[in-house]
Amino acid sequence: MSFPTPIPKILLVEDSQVDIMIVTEVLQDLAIECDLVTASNVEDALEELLVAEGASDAANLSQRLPTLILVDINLQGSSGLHLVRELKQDATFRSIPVVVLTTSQAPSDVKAAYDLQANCYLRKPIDYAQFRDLIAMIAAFWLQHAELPA
Amino acid sequence: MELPCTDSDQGPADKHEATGPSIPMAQISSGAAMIMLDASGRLILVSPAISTLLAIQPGDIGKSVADIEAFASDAAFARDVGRAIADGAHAVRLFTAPQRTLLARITPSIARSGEPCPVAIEFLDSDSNAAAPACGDEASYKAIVDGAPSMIWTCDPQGNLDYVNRQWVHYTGLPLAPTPGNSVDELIHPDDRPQAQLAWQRAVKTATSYRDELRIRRHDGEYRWFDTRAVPMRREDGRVAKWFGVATEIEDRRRSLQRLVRSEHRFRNVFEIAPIGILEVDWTPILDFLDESAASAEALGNAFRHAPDIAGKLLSSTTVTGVNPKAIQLFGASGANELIAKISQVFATPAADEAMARAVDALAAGEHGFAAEISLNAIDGRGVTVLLRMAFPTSESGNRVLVTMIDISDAVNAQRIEHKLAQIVNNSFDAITSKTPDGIITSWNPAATRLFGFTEDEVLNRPATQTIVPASHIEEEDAILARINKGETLAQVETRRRHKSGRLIDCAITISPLRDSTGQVTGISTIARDVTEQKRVEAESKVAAMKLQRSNVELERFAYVASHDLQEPLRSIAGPLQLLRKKYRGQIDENADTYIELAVQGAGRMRDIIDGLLAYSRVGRNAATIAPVDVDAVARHVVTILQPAIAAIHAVVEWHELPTLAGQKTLLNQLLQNLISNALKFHGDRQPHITITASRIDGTRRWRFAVRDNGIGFDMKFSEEIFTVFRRLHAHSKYAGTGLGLALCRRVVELHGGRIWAESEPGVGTTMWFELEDGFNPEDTGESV
Repeated sequence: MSFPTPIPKILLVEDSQVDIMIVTEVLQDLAIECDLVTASNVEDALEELLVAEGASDAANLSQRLPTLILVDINLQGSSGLHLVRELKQDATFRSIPVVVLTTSQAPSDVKAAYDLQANCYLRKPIDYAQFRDLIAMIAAFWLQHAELPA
Repeated sequence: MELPCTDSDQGPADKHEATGPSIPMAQISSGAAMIMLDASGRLILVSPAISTLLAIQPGDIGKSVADIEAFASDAAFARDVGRAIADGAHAVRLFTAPQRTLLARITPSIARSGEPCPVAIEFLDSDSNAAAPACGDEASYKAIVDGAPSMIWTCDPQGNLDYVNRQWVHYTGLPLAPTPGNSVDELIHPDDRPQAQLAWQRAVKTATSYRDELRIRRHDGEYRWFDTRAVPMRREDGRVAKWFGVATEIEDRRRSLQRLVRSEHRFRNVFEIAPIGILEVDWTPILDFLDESAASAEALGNAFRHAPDIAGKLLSSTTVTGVNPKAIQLFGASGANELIAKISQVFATPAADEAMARAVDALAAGEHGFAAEISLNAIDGRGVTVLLRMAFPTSESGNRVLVTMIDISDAVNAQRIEHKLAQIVNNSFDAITSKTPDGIITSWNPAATRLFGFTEDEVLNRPATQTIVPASHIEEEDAILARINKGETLAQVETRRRHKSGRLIDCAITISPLRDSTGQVTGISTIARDVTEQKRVEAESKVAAMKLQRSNVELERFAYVASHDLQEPLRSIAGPLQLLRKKYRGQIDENADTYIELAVQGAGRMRDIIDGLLAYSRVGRNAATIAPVDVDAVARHVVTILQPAIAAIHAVVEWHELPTLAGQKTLLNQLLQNLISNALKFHGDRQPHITITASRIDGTRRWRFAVRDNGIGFDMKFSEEIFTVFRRLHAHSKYAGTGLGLALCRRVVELHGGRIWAESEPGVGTTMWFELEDGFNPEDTGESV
């Protein structure tokens, strides 16, 4: 390849320090090469995305748009579902896959997420091993198999 | 009858040429004008004709004939009348009235020898132009005969007419037509002919007098009634020489007789079929008594009251002369004779005595009648209450009193029932009132006073809307009245009424129309009951139920939210612990590894509890989808899921013919999974054997299931506790579990309209029984969070 394949950028919107730690550990454990960016609330996440969009400097990898967004629902301040709505209403952001990763089992949350065009809804397992399997599946699907717009 | 005409041709006016024998005037029958005298010679009856002829005044009735101007002038007449009265002597003579001369026939009634008797005197108007003839003067007789208003004729023994008088010619319009064979039969009305012929033939055959009433044709063709007589006049040898006939017109009498007959017939009918009992009583003794005593009526009235013996004597001397069928029936008599014979028994009641006394008072007061409600005795001993009316004697009815009686026993009984009902109403605990169709209060029982505070006097004849109906309910009251007036009955309507004090009372009222016998709504009855207390209790229990409901909802929400919110902190414990274990196992020391392991296990158990709590609180939270569930398939699915656990302990799980029933599949899944898990978990030393059975409960839509195991069992004293949340019978170390499994089972079963219970024996096994209602429609599944 003439151009090196850019490593995927993952935006994790999560206010739980523990979950950030676990996701980070799992990614390392699975040896998934990626650029993990975190935001602890909806506003930070939007800020991050807007900056990335404005920079449009392909050279600066840290300011690229994310390849995949993982979002929790129960966040301090605005709900993660609010972020989903904002993303899916925006012409630029709506093609970025959004995976809702949450502890909520409320059917109303599940339905709302899909209504807002979330790409999938997954429940965070408590057990580490299960968590690791789940992230492995997400990465395999969205980062390896799924064909995404350039 | 064939009366051949004579040969002589005489004009009607030619009286002097009439031929014939001396006419025995005693045989002349007139009747057109007559008077009657009683045995004292007093005038008691005057026919209208004579009263006109002689100018007799109504006031003359009752006077002695000698004192009446019309008769006083003729001494010879007076003498003959006196002889007729005294000796019964008949006489016919000319009577010289002030203006005219009449022929008088004086006929005594059949007298007992030696006693004076009443006398009837008939007058014939003689020709007013004729000079008063002397007795025995043949020409005078002829004049009289021709002038007579009756038709007079004579005929020979064969029936050939040889003389007719002027009236005959005048009436029939026929000249004396001496044509042989010209029958006078045709003068007789065809209907009367056969009878007349028979009578005439008999008279001729037996040579006795002939008399008949028949219709004779007038010159204008009209038939009029005549009293027709003929008497034979005999020769000295006894053979009949001639027949002498007189036909007196009786059309008026006949008509009035017909009217009388008709009228009598009508009254007889009324008497016979009237639905009221009628007695005809001859009151002569009472009227005589009244006549004889000066202070009559009062005395008699008093006699009835104070001297029953006199009254009784008087009453018993009156005679019942007639009773009608209804009277016979009324008093239970077998017939008229029995009733008449036992009438004193019928009237032998104090009420009857009192009524008679009052009747006599009324009579004395000049009233025409008397009415009273009295009790009488029927002949069979029953009491009969009648409305009795008496019509006192009038000049027409003589001394007869008509007593009519209407049976009002039923009405009196009805009154008694009404009285009883009134007592019920008065003693009722409910307020019972009635109103006019317009809402004016017309009755008010004591309970109404207790309930509303208003006394009867304060509400009667006033609109309910001004008293007990609060202003806020006037429209409702109007609507109610409109419906009742249409005939509706409203039961247990909850409304409010105003107490006199102004306090509002919660009432349940039942309102219904009151109708008269024709079905017309003439009033409204209302039964009101104070439901203030009942309402309070209802309200309280409603509040309690609501509180309980709210409490349940809150508990469920708490369980849900708690389990939900516990997840985050659980993650922050379990997450780092797992990372710690992963990264540092065997790097610190053996104790550290044990501590970390214990903490990880604790976090795991906590996760199970939270999951269980979530599942439990979620049962019934989501809108139910009731659909046919094949329980057999559910069992297969559950066994598949539990296969690792089943295999691990070599258990046998079997079932027979589980039904398909309408329910919630997910919940039934949880139910069976929990029960089978428990059976597997609490297995004993033997090979675990689990059986699931189901059978329909006869005659219902319920199914009874049993999940039977041969496990360790439990003490039945815990049979109820095991279904409560977090209740565990065993230590975690021995049997894992959250204490939520059976609680969830109970919720699921109850949500399906069923129940669950356990039978167990330690060391033998446990049977979990539960019943499900096929197609039960849970009411409390609509709520979701």
